[in-house]
Amino acid sequence: MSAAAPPSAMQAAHQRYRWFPYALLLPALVVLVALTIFPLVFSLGVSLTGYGLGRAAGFVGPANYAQFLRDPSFWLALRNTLVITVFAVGIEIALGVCLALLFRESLPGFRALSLLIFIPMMLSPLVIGFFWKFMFDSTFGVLAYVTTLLTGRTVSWLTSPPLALAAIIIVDTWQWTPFAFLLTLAGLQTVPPQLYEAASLERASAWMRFRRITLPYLRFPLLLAVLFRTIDTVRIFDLVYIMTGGGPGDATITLSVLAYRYGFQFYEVGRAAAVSWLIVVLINLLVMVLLSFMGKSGAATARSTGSGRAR
Amino acid sequence: MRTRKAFFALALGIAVVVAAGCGRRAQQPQAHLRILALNWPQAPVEQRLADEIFTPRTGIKVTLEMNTYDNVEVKMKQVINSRSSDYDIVHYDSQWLGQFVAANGLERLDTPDYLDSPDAEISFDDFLPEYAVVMGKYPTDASEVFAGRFDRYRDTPIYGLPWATGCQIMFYRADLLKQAGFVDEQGNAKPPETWPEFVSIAKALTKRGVRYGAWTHAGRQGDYITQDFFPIMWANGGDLWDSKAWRAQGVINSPQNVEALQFYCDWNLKHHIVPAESANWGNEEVFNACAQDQAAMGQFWATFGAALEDHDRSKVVGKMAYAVVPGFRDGRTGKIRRAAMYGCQATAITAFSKHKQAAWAYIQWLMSRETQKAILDDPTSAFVSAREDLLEYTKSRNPRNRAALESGFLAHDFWNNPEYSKLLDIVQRELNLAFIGQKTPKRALDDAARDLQQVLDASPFRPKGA
Amino acid sequence: MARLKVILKYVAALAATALFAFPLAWMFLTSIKPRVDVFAKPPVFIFTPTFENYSRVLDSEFMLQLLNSAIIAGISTAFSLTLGALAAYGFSRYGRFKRADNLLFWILSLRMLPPIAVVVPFYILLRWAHLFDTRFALIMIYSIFNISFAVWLLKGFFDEIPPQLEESAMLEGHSPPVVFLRVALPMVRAGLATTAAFCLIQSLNEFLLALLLTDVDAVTAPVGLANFQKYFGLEWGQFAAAATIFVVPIIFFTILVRHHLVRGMSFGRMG
Repeated sequence: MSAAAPPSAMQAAHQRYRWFPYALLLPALVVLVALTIFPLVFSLGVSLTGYGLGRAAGFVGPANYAQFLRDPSFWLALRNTLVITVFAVGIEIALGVCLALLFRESLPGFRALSLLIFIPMMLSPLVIGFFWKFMFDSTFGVLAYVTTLLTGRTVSWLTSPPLALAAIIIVDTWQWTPFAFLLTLAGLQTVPPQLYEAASLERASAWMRFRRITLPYLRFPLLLAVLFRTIDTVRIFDLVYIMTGGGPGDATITLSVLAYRYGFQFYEVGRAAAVSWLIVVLINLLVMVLLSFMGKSGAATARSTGSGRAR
Repeated sequence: MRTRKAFFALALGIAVVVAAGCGRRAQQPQAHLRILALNWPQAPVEQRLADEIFTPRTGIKVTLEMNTYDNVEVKMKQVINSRSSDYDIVHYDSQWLGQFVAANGLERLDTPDYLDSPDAEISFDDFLPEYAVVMGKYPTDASEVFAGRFDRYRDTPIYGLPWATGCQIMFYRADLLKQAGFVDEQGNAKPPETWPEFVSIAKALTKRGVRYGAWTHAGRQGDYITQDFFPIMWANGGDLWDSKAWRAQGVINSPQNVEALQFYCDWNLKHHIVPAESANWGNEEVFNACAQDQAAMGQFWATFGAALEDHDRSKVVGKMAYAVVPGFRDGRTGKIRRAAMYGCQATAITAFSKHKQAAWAYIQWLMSRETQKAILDDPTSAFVSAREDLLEYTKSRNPRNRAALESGFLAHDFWNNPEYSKLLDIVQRELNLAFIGQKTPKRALDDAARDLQQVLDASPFRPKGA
Repeated sequence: MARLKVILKYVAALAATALFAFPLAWMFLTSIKPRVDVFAKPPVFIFTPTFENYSRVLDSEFMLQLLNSAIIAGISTAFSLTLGALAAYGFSRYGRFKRADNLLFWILSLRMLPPIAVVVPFYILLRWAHLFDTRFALIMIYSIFNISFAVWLLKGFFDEIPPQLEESAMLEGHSPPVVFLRVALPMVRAGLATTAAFCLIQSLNEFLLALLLTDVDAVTAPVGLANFQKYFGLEWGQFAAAATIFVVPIIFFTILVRHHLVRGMSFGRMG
């Protein structure tokens, strides 16, 4: 902070605009609180009751939560949700980064091509769900047609528990890789080109260039991508519901599908709310882990690369 | 100063922009009836006739909101739960009756305001009893009704009237059966009379890479696989539960049922006469398989047959034939025991409607002989009426109706109690697992029985003494 | 050698593009195929195209639903972007107070609740406020998720800008709000564009809340798409036509945004 200006003028300026930070923060906070206070309190409250269609809404305390922790479908849903999240988010990020590195070249036509990659992200989940369900169907689908040609046997994706889960991971990855791609692309463009020039003078390898120069600038976009994709993937619903309904059996059921089942098929609102809050707890845990992991390594890299970020 | 103004302007701009998005609900005109309906083919016909006849006659505007099956269930439950007057009339599926009545969502009709009024234009007796009693009265035991014992329910409260009826029937490719030599004395294709016959015909018709001999809708979602398997289970003499004792244990996992399930799963796991993918199939996929000449025979809803005769959608126009479903031959008597899956909609007035008398006027009009005949006359409606005085007329509309109505006395239905959704989900899961070979039939049914019994035992709706 | 590299890059790029874009091509083909050919096996590629599906869809209530979606998504995005940008700048430049991190985390956590949990309370709230089945209700509800996203994304972008520019502007006598508007905001053009794109996409495609909190007046396009499910399955032709019509404006917007994205970045960076 420069000390060139006379303190009194700066202080006077600060005094007059003391309201400014509040004007910045309050609108968003007030709107958010006003909109969410009732739903949050209600849904937390109802999760402690037995509220449902035609049932007395008696207070049952933590019984709903306890019941889920004893229910094997809950643990199955939890396992599936974690598997889908870890694999989908992992592959999305990796693939997104690779694609961004490929497409940042200013080769003719690349800009137009990269636009086409955004398409999956823009399609409605219904469109994607129905389309891919059809694609994976061994009687009608092109994908199954191809795998049958390649392996000689009829591969039935959506009726085999491991393959059905794989199918969902494939589709989710396909849908959201453009998200990681876009964020990474934005991040890549913040890298000052001088650093690359300096690196080529020093004859640094491509990998070194990536690790030392590019990666620090990708920290922020990648953190955002991982964070938001994790939060959204744990809540995955539309895709699973449309493609398999949680089947075969319960092999692809996720926590949100379970909540839907309790909320809208059995109409036990209390229990559905309890599952939803368990989802929130899970996401909170994951996010805290991610934030602390990224936070720590981010700070370490900033210190070690010195000129990395202009602050 | 300029900046403060700028901020004010910004704030004002936001407010204006937000207010612009405001859209209050238009004031409702007098007596505007809203009906929650399934998007089956009779719905557009109903809307058209209501606009052309009912509205001019009474001045009451009618709007049918056509929804998918899932959405109707969800919306109705939401309406009941919040006691809202969103819908005045609902066309509901028979198995939801228990839940809706238990939650006090439907208006009782056997009162002097409605059916018992001296001015009532329709009567409960106008309708075929095997449909009317199951779909409209609660509580009833479907197996008793279908065995013809209606008098037990003479005083049972009435909540709905049968709207569109139907059963699953056997669809088969007459041309393929003829080609393969399965014909009767006149040289016409002869559909299977028993399920084992069905399997052997399907085996003969299955050509790898070309077409499967049969289809199933063994999907996990909704009630697909249960609809497919239950008729086989019932034809084999088994049952779902003991409705008097509220007992599933020992009933659904009886030896006959295990045998029936093994028989059904073998279609996929042993004989490969059905696509493996059908374990994820519902109505849509079966329709496509049939229409695209990918499978030759199977159970299906009579209503769908109409679309198979449409050149725009189907490659098998004119090739399909219909019959009552096959059964199992009883070893002792030599008679064939058949069972068909029941699938009907009824109509009721919602308990929170603000226009109940108008709704009743509509229902009387809809259920009248003239209106039902008009709906039958429209070939796109694929409608099967439950009116007794239109029985022969309905049968004569097309071959599917004949098969469907002849299946009436063979029909069985699901549990019709408030725990329906949970019971269904359990059985769906277990049957699906057995069908793909993840569990043996015995294991699947035993697990189902255990979980079903848990739900039944814990249910707050369990009758005393059960 | 360099030549080979370029060729390989093109091959990879084309392969990637094909992978991500082919469903849209398939969707378009489906919308002009006669219904009976849609599921033909083996797949039919030579057929007489029909535009009947498009004329049916353009005539139907889907267009109204599309308009609703556009209004709701547009206004919600604009609203959220504004509030989000303000708050993001606030957290970035004035965020050194005690509860800042907690607040930020709380804002993020608003995205964590699955829609299923909040449908029933929102339903009750909207009915009580007579706002059921209004566009305003959906605009505000979507703004919850959008503001949350905007704050986080834009805060990161603001964090990237060195404060020197703002400080020198303030030393020249400009007030903080002016500095925000004239100096800081233009530098995060890329962030604004990206946020706008994502918020629009998410608001346009949201399904569950739109389904259960609307009835007739405020029905949105995704719900409209779902209504193409008939008793025998999807009306694939019309569904595909509607889906194609739906995605075209989004693609248009992305093209515009992409342009701004690149320009914004190279302008904002001083190096």
